[in-house]
Amino acid sequence: MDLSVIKQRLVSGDAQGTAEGAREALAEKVSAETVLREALMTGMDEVGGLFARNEYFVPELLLSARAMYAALDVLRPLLAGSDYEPAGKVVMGTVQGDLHDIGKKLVSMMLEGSGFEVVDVGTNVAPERFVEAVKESGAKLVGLSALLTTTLPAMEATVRAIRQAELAGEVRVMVGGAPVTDSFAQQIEADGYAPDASSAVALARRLAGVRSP
Amino acid sequence: MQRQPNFDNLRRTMLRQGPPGPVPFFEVLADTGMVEAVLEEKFPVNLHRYIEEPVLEVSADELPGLLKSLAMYVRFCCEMGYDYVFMVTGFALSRSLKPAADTAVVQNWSDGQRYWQDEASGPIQSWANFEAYPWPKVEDLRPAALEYVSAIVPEGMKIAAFLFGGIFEHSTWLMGLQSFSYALRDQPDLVEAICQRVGELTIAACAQAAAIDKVGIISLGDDLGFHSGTLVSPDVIRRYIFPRYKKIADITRQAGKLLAYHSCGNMYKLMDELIDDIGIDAKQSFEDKIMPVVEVYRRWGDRVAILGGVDMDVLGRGTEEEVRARTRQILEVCGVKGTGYCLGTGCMAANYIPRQNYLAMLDEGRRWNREHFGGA
Repeated sequence: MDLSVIKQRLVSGDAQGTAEGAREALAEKVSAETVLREALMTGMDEVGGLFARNEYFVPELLLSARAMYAALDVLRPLLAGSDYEPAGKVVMGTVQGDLHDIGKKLVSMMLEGSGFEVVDVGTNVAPERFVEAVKESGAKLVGLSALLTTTLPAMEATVRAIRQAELAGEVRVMVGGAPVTDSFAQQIEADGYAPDASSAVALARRLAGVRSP
Repeated sequence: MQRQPNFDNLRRTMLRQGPPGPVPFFEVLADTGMVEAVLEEKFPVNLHRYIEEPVLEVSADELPGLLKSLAMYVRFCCEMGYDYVFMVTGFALSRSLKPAADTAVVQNWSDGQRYWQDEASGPIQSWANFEAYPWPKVEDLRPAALEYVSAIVPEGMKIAAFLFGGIFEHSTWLMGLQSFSYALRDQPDLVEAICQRVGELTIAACAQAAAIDKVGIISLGDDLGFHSGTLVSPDVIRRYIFPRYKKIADITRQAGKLLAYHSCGNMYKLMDELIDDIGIDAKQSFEDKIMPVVEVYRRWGDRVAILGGVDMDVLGRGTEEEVRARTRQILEVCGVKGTGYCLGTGCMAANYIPRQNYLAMLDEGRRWNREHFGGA
C-alpha cells in the first residue's frame, strides 16, 4: 500500500478508505509510526495548507480529521506498544464564560494530526481548571480560545493563573479566537497568537521546539 | 430640542444618492441589556422567551408588558437618533442552546445567562428527525410586533425588520455546524431539504414584513464567515443559500424596500456576487481584524452602502477617547461624501459594550454632522 494513497484519501476526507489503507499498510508490515508520520501527519499538514489558502473550509477540515481518527483507531493499539512519542502534550480549552467550541476543536484536530497529544478540557473553563489540567497531564503547552470580546478578560486571568501556579517547568501559552489579536496576546503576556487552525499548529511546533514532518 | 427622525435621509444615504447630507446611524439590533442601560429602565418581561420559543402563546396578562417592551424599543431608537426602529421578526426554531453565566457589563436576560449555539449537534441529524421536527407553518407566521410598532412609530420614522437567523444560520443551527459539515458529504439531500424548508419560511417572513407600509428596510442577518474565510466553501453557499437570498432580495425590491445584509466574518470572496447578483443595498458588520470598514468602503463603497464598522473590541474594551477617535477616523473616510455610509457598531449594540462607549460613538457622530452639515 502506497502511503501517498492513504495520505490522499485522508486529504479527500475518505474515512473508510483511509482506515482501510492503514490496515493494508500494517498487513504489509509497515510500522504504525511510519503510517502515522508519512501518511496521516503529512496528510493533515497538507489539509492545513489548503485551509490556510482558503481552498479548504470547516467541513473539509472536519472530514479529513474524521478520516485521520478512523485510521488512528487502527494504529493506536500498535502505537501504544511501540517507542512512539507524541510531539508534545497540549491542554486546549475555551476560557471561562465562553462556550464556543468548534474553533478549539478544529485546532485540537490539527494538533493531533501534527503528532501532539491533546488534553481537551472543554469550554467555559475556569483558570484554576486549566492549571489543574496542566498539573495532571504534565503538558508544557496550553491553548486558549475565546469568541467574544466580553470573555477576553478570562483569557488574561487564565494566563496569569498559569504563570502564578507552581508548575513543573515552563509552560507556554498560545491564544486564539475571533476577538484575539497579536497585540492582545502580547498585552496579556501569552507566548503566541494564532489567527487560525493551521497557523496554530505552526505556533505549537515552534513553542514546543518540534520540526515539521 | 428633540431631533426629528428622517427616514428619507436614511433611504437616500443607503441608496448612495445625493445631495450630501448628515450621516445617519444604523444598527441591526440593540441587546436588551444595552436598551435597559441607556433608558435606565428594565423591560417588564423577559424578551428571551419571545425570541426563542417557536410557538408563542401570549396570554392576556403578558400582553401589556410585551407591548410596553416594544414601545421601549421605539423610544430607544428615537432618543438615540435612529430614523427607524429595529425590530426582530420572522420565526424561531427549536435548537440546541447551551447557557453559561453572562460575563458582560449588563445582563440581557433576567436569569443572567448567555445562550450559546451548540456547534456540534442539533435537533435534526437524520431524515427521521427532519420529518418529526415541529416545523412552523408558513400560514402561522404573523408579524405581530411589526404591526404593533407600525401603529406607534413616530412621524418620519420607519421600521427595519430584522429577519432573526438567516438561512445558513438556521440550517446549521438545526444540525449543529459540525454535523452540517459531515452531512454535506454524507447526506447532501438532507442539507438541501433543511435549507429549502428554512428558505421557504424566511422568504415568507420577508414577504410579510415587506408588505407592511411602515417597514422601510429588511435586514437579513446570516453569519457566513470567521476570521480567514467563509465557514463553508463559497460553492456550498452558492448552491444552498444564495438562491434563497435572491428571492428575498427580489421580494424586498419589488415592495420598494431596502435590503441590508448583515454577515459577520470574512465573506469578502462573495461580496461582488452579493452586490451584483443578489442585489443587496447595504452591507453591515465589519471587524478591524479582518478588514477595517474604511477598507471595505474604499473597495465597495461606490457599489453598496456601508453600515457601521466601529470595531466591537474597541467599543467593548476601549476607553471613551479611543472610541471617539476611531469613530472620527471612520467618518473622515466614509462620511465625507455625505451619502453611502451610516455610522454604527461593527456588529450590534451588544450588552458587553459599556453604555458610555456606545453613547460616545453616537455623540461623535452628531458632532461630525454638526461640523459638516450643520446638524443631524
